[in-house]
Amino acid sequence: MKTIVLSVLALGLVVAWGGCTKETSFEGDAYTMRLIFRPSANGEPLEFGREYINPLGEDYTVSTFKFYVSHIGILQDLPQPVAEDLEGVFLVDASNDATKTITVNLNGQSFNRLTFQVGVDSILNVSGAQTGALDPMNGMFWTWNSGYIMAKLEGTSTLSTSPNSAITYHIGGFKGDEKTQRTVQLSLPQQQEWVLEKGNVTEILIDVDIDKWFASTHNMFILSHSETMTPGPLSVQYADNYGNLFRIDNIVRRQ
Amino acid sequence: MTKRVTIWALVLLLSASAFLLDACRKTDKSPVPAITSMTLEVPPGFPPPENIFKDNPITREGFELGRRLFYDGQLSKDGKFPCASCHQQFAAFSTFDHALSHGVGNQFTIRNAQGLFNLAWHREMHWDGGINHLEVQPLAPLTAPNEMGETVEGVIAKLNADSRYREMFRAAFGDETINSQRMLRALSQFMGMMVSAGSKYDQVKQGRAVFTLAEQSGYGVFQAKCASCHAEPLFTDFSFRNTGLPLNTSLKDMGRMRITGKREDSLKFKVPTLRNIALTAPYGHDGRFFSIGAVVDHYRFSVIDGPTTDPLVRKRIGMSSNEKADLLQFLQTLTDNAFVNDKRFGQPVE
Repeated sequence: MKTIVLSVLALGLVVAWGGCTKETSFEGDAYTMRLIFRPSANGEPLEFGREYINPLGEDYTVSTFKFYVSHIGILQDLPQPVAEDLEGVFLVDASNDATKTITVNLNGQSFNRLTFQVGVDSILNVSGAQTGALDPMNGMFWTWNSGYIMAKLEGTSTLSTSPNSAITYHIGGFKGDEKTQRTVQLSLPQQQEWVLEKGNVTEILIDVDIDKWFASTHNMFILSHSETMTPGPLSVQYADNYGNLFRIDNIVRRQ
Repeated sequence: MTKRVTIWALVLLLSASAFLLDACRKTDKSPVPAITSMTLEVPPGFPPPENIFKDNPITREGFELGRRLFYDGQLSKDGKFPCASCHQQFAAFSTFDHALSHGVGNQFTIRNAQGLFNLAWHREMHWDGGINHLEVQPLAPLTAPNEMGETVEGVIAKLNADSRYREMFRAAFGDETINSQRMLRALSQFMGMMVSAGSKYDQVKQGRAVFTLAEQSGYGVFQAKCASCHAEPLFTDFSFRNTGLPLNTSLKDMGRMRITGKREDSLKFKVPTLRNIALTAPYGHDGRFFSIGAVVDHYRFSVIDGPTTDPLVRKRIGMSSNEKADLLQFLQTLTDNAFVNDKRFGQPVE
């Protein structure tokens, strides 16, 4: 009898500790992957205030560039991720180096493609006050029309029709055909296969080409649209474009 | 014997688990003061509220923190415009006698501040429904340049500099961290607890009072001609409708279309509740009507049949002068004096 009591008790303790030490949402081994986002324009690292020419031949400068990244995962042939970080939502801010590096732990190893979502899940747009990367203090929440700005690009252009030559793109929308979350899937350089290992960190350098914001899936002329700050068809077109900004430059192991 | 041992084992197990779970929750915190939980009372006949307190359990400490924030001018840029400046308790938390609310720097807004009560039953807030959760509602007036004119950073910095707030946040949330989520959740607790269901109408419904003949007749008029939009018991169906008001050409407020971007939503505004209507003059999204009678007359005589005018009012609402008089008597029974005098919701005593 005593043995039963003790074992029930022991089980209880294990269950209780399990609830306590839970830091990742899965059991088993975790492999660490680090994404480093490197904003660029005209093929060079982004510099605020510098003049660039977009693929449509229009000049622009950048003063703010921020976007949300979530659902970071790895893929191998099949469309379903081998492993995915379902909880992390990160705000990459080009003006803040610390935010450009994102570290996640995954419970899978082998992959040939990287996946992530640009934007914030719809449910988090309707669930009240959030904190951390989603704190409205980060200037990425619309206070008059509840919802997150998934990506924000601001600067100037001589072709702008807005006051002070400003270009202002606040792209968001999470309902029905206004959705602006975009899933990005990137092949590894040279189509290589990669295996995450314990004891070292895999670092992936990702180029973020702002030129494609203006011209990739759609040609979005600054002359026609120097500002977008509401959900709707225009935001959706910019979202289609920002799904194309990303390319893996390099993948390396770090101790 | 076996049964007793098993029960003891279970008791031990539960307390051990509770202890351990509790221990890990509080790792880096000093002892947490006791928290008193509160519950949102659902008045008889009310539907279940929205599930807005799922991640934000209501406590006495959180409620009192929210109350202090609600009445604190520090939440505005110049210190003079607390939430309560446009939401006055004696006016059922609407703005008394102002068609349009006004904020910092002598600026008007484009809208008439609505009363605040029974908010836990609203899925969308604002005349245009742009706000999708009570917790994020305060961000709108707080950051609007013509309302409180502040920034979230600015408010959080001011609160952090105030030792009394640090203590209140600790009491409500377990530690002294002051962030926007906690501030908004405390405000949500305070505002969400504002329930108004103590009017004469409610007493009649519960068999504790009787309508006068005129009120009873007015209730009949209400049920026949108003209740399809102003549905009982909340006296709104929460929908957005164009009631045939001509566009206010100086404000050019297109209402719901501002949020959805859809032409069919042009000039639609949220159906306001009629509860406490006698206290919330003036009326309409831009406060253009200064009496309830003027609103009723709009429906009787002046509805404009435009492309998005609601079918229910497009042909205007036929109503005799006697019916109108009785209806006005009935609407007076929707005033909840206990609510507007409820000290729990009043300005905290310093």
